[in-house]
Amino acid sequence: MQACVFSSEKGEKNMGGKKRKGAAFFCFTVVLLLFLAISSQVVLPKRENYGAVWDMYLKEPKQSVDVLLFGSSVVYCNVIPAVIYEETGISSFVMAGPDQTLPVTLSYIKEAVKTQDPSVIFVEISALFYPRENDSVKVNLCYMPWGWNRVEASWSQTTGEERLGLFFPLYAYHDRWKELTAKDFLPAQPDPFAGYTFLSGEKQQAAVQGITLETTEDVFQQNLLTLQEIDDFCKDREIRCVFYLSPGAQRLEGELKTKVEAFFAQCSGEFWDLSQEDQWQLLSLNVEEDFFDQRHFNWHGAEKFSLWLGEELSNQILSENQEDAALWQQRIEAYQKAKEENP
Amino acid sequence: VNFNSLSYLLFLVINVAVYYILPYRLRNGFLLLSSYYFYMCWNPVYALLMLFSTAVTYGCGRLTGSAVWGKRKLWVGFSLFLNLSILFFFKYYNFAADTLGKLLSLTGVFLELPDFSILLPVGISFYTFQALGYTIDVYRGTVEGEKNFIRYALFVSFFPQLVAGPIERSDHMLGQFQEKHKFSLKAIEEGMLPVLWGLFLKMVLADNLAVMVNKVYDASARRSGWELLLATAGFGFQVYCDFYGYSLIARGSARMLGFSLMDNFNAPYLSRSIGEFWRRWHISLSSWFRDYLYIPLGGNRKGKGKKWRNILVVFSLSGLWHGAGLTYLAWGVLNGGYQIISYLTMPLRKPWQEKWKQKGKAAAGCLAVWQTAATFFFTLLAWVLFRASSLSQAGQIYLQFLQIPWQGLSIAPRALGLSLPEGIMVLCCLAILWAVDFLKWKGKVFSFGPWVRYAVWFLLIAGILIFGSYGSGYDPQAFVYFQF
Repeated sequence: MQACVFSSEKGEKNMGGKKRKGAAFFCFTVVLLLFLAISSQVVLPKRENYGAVWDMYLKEPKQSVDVLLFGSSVVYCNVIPAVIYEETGISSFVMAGPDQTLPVTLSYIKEAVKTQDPSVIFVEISALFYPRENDSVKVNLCYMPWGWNRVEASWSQTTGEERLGLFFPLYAYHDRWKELTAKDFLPAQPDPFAGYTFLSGEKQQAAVQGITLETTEDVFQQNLLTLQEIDDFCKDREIRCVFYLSPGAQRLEGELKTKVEAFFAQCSGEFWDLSQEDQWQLLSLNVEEDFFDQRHFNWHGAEKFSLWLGEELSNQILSENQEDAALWQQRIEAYQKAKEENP
Repeated sequence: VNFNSLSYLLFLVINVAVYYILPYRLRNGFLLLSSYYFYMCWNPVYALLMLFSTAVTYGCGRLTGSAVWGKRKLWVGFSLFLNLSILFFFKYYNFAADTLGKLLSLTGVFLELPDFSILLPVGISFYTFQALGYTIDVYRGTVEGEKNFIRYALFVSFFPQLVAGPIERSDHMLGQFQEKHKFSLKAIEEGMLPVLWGLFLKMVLADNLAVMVNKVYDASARRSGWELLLATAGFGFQVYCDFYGYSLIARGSARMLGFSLMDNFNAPYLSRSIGEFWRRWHISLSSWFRDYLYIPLGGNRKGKGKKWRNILVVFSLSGLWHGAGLTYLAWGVLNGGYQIISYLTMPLRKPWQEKWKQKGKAAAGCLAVWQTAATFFFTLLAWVLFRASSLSQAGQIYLQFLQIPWQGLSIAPRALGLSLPEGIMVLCCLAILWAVDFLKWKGKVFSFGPWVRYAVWFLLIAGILIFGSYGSGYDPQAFVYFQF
C-alpha cells in the first residue's frame, strides 16, 4: 500500500501478546455499546405527556399503583389519577399511548406489571375497531424499556425504517444532537399527572353526536384475539380486567354491539360500554362544556369522568395505598395549579 | 448499494466472510459474481454492457499480445474505438448533438438530431478507462494479455472500485488476483480505519456541507458574493470529502479482502501550485491521462507550444470525462489555463520566491502559506464551474464575487441552511481533516497499538452515528462522482 497516515504495524510488534489486544478490543466493544445505549436515550425526545410516558412511569415507587389504565388518547386525556386519589385514596396511573393499537396495549400491560402489582387494569377498546398498524406505533414502542416485550412488539408490529429506528433509536433521532439541552441529560422524575395529559378549552360540540363504530371483519377478528390474550393474561395474574368504551362521539351499535357483547360474555373480564348516551347522564356530562373535541374531554369532563370512575372503584372495595402519600399530594396540587392557570 | 448504507456494510461483511471461507480456486469467481450483483443493484441491464466491454478488451488484449494474429495496432485500435464509442454514445451523444445543433443554428442551418433519453450507466467512465488502460498496457508490453477471463473480468468489475474508482492499473491489480490471501485480522483492522474515516468524511462532512452548498447554489441569483464564496469553499470541501471518502471506503473494503488499491488523494488542498494540486487530486485519473494521453502526445518534450497544447488537450478531456457539459469543459480548460499561466509567470515569480526563502524560516513559512492559500483560492474559482448548472449561472456567480469589495460582509446565516451548532461541528471536523491531511502531506506515519487504534475507531463511529447524515426521512446523497 502507498503511504498511509496511520499504521498499526509498530504497535502490533510492541504490544506484548494477544491478551492486551483482546483486552483493548473488549473495552472498545463495551464502550461502544455503552455509548449506543446512553446516546440513544439522550437523543430520544423527552416524553412528558400525550402518553407513552414510560420513563416517568418507571419512577413510580415499586408496587404502589392500585389501578393501571391502558388505551389510546381517550385514556390519557380523559382520566385524572390525581382526582381519583383525592376522592378515594386509590392510586392509579395512565399508561396509554397515542392511537395505541391492541397488540401494543398487550405489550404495555405485560411490561407495566413488571414494576407494579395492580388490582385492576382498565383497557379502553376503541382500538378494537381500528387497523392494527398506524403511524403512532413507533412512538408507543420507542419509549418502552428494553426487554422481550419491546423487542417482540417492535419486530411484529413494524417494518422497514420504523423497525430499524426502534431497534436502533439513533437511526431515527440522532439528528436531534443540535437541539439537546441540559434537560435531555437529566434522569426522568415521577409524572406530576400520573400519565394524564391536561387539556383545557372546548370546541363547538354540536358534532359530539353519535358516529357509529365500524370495522372490517378481518381487523375485528384479529383484534378480538388480542383482547382474548389480554383477558387471559389478567386472568392468569388474578388481576381484575375492565374493558370499556370511552364516552364520546363513537357509538357501538347494531350487529357489532351484539358481537362485542357476545365476546365479552365469555371473557373473565368485564365490559363497560360508556359510549351510550344514557351513560352520559350517569357521569353528569355536559356536551357543551366538557369536551375538548369529539373524542376527548377537557379537564372539566375528565374530572367528572374520573370522579365517577373513583366512585366505581371504591364501591369495589379497593384498599387505599398510603405508601406514597407525599407524591400524590404533589400531584393533587399540580392538578389544582394547572386548573387555576387554565380555567 | 451505496457505500454509506447499511446494505453495503452487510454486503461487505458477507463478502469478506465467504471470501475467506471459500477455497482459493473459487474465490475470484465468487468475487466476480458479487461484483456483478453489486453493479446490478443499480441497473441489471447495464451489467451486460460492462460484460460486453470486458469481453471486447479481454479479446483484444489476447489478440494484441499474441504473435500469431499479428496486427497488434489493429486490435488495440479496435478496442479503443469500440469502448470509446460506447462511452460516447451513453455519455456524450446527447450533449454533442445538442451542441452541434446549437452551433449550426448560429449559421442558419437547423439540424434535428435524434435525442436518446438514456440513463448513464454507473461507473462507465471508470471501468472503460481501466479496461482501456489494460489494452494499452498489453500493446506496450507492460503486462501480458491476461488469459484467465474470470480474473480479467474481476479486474474490470472488482466491486470496491467499480463505480467510482480509483482507476486501477493492470500491472498493479492483475497480479493480486493470482495471490492467495490468507485470512488475517491485521488486514481487517487495516481496512477498518480507511472505511471508517471514509464514512466520516462522506456522512459527517460532505453531506452536511451539501446542505449549505445546495441551498446557496439553488438560489444563487439572490445570494451575496460572500455567501456564494462561502458556499463555493464548502463545495470544494464537499467534493473532496465525498470523493476522498469513497476512495477510502474502496481501499479499506479491498484491504479487508487482502487487496491493495492505489491512494487516490494526497492532501490536495495543501498543494502550493495548481500543478501540485493535480498530482495530489484524483491521482488515478491524473496519472492515467499523463501515461496514456499526455506523454503519447509528446508531453513536454516537443517544445513549449506543444507542451501547452498537450496540457490544454489533457485538461479539456479531463473536464469532459467528468461530465458531458460545457461547464465541465470550461472547468478543464480553466485548470489547463492555470497551468500554462503558471509556467508563463514562473520567471517573474521565481526570483521573488527565492528572496523570501532567503529571509529565513519564518518568511519561507509565510511564503508556503501564501502559496497554499492562493492555490486553494484558484481551485475554488474553478469549482464554481464544476458546481454550476450552466455557464450563465457560473458567470453570474463570478460577477457576484467581483462585487464583494463593495458588498461588505453580508452573510445571512439562514441562507446557508446550517444552524450554528452544525456550522461549528463542520468547522471542527474540517480542522480534524486538515490536521490529518497535514500529517499525510508531511509524510508522517503514526504507528500505534490497539488501545489508540480502537479509540480512534470509537471516535469515528460515534461521530458518524451522532453527526452523520442518515436515518429516517433522510434522502441519502449519492456520491458526487457516481455521475461520472
